Amino acid sequence: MPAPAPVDTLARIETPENVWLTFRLAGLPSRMLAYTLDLSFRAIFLVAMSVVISILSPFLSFSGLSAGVFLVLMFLLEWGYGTIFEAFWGGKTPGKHILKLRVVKTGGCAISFYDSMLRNLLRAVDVLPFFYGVGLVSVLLTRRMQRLGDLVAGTIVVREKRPRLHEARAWLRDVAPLPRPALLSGYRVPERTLALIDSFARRRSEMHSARADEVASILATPLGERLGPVGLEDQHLREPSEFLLRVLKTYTETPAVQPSQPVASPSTDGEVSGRGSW
Amino acid sequence: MTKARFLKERRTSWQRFEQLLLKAERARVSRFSGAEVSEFSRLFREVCYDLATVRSRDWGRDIEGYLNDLVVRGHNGFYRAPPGRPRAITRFLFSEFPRLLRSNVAYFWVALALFCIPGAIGGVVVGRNPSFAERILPAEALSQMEAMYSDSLEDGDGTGAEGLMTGFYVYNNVGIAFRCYATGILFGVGTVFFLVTNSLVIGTITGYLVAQGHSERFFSFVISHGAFELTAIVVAGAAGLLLGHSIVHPGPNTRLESLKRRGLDSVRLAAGAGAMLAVAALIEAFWSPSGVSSAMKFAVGSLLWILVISYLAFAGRDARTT
Repeated sequence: MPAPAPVDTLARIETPENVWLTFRLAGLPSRMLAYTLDLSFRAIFLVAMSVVISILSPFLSFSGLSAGVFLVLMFLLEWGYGTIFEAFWGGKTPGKHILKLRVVKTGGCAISFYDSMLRNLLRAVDVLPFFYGVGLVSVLLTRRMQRLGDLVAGTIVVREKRPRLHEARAWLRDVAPLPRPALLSGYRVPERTLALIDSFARRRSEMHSARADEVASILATPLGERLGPVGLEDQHLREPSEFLLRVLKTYTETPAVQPSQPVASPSTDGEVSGRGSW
Repeated sequence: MTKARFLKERRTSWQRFEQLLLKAERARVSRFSGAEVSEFSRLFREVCYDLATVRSRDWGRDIEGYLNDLVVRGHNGFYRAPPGRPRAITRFLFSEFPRLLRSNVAYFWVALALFCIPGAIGGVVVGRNPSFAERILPAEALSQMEAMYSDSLEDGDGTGAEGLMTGFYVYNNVGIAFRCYATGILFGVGTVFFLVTNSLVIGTITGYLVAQGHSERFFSFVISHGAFELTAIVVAGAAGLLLGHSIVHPGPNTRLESLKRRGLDSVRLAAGAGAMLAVAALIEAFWSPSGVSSAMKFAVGSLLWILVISYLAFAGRDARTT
């Protein structure tokens, strides 16, 4: 890719299968929240253990031993919590699990025990001088948002989502197809453009309706002109998002109309076209 | 091919791949039968190809995101590091760790010098003039120390004090060793600081107690666990210096690249030091304060020193030739 790397929170990795994978990097807020959760789990566990130990200690008659066990637990929680969970639970601690974060190698594969130990021992430096100062600065300055421990261990923290592939086009149910005359102009909307409208439709709820119309008009204006005057009283200018949905409905759900020869996409706007450069 | 037809044709394969992924995430791929492994790898390549197709045709984000997720999970299952086995721990302790230390022995000597020289100077100065000790340690700490070594030793009284002390030594000493290692990334400064200050404190206490006439008690106490503890701190220091050196003098690589290359070696050294300190904690809590005669402790302690030195110098040597 000769183009400069885009400024975003995605990490791209090329696999041996020659396909580029995209990872969504975890930002500071989610990582801090995960850390806070882990911290409270550790505190809860310690309190629970001290209760258990104090209940058991009269029967053991080793008051010193139970305090010793408690100290070993404290050591394990301080130094081993992250190392052990991340090494044996696919790069997740309980806090990360809840926030759907995972530690992976910068190459995208799972981390090994020593990777995990390295990034967690170096936490001792990331916490300096106070409140994770070094770590915060490092996360803010590095492109893949890595703290010092991540940099040395070659790891990144990514967000996991399990996208589902939706079958039903629920948002098209109430949309009326274009009237028949519109299809007589002879122009057939190319597959690529339909996919673009499809993406737009899925993201429409995230935008203010005025902004959605603004974005839609970039595509709706030239598309409406290509389809010609079809008795819609310039709907492509008045209600561009609605118009696009009608186009999508018509061309994907009417069997008679098959998309055909590719036509240069009229839009180059990032909002609509998504990441199409690769 | 249109998007709709593509989805219809490929969907069953994706669903099958998802099933295999769920299985792979619960157990490991190594538990798969032969047929499942070949099916997994075939489907994985197919899904990779599908992802490339979807991208080249711009068929929308939802399907791209879905396939990207499948490939990510497949990639994760396929290219993970081999799972750790219990045998790996013994192999690490009895051959890999000492070998790794020997191949980085220069750092060990430097750490040893940093850990010995300030303490030796401090010890000699304080031994000649015990009042200097108060410049390094508070007077209460010194008198407490002296009281500790004036008491006669008795065997454990059944309160489990040994257990408490083991826990304390693990928590305190291993924590210090790990901090000493990790701060090496600050251009080695943190490691040097930890080594020199700990050395000074230990030297001062030694000099002070010797000057007060507690030398037999003191040395018979520290000789046994010292074999593991003092050596392990030097090893942790060596690991920190390795980290620091790789950032100060990265050679032909960038500093980050150099850190990444040496980082794994350094953390393995620190892990070995942690294991040695755990052994030291047990000895320090159970053996060192026991009521055994000083002569016995000196004998056992000397043996332990020989053991540790020959462990670090010779363990794992034969493994290289096989």
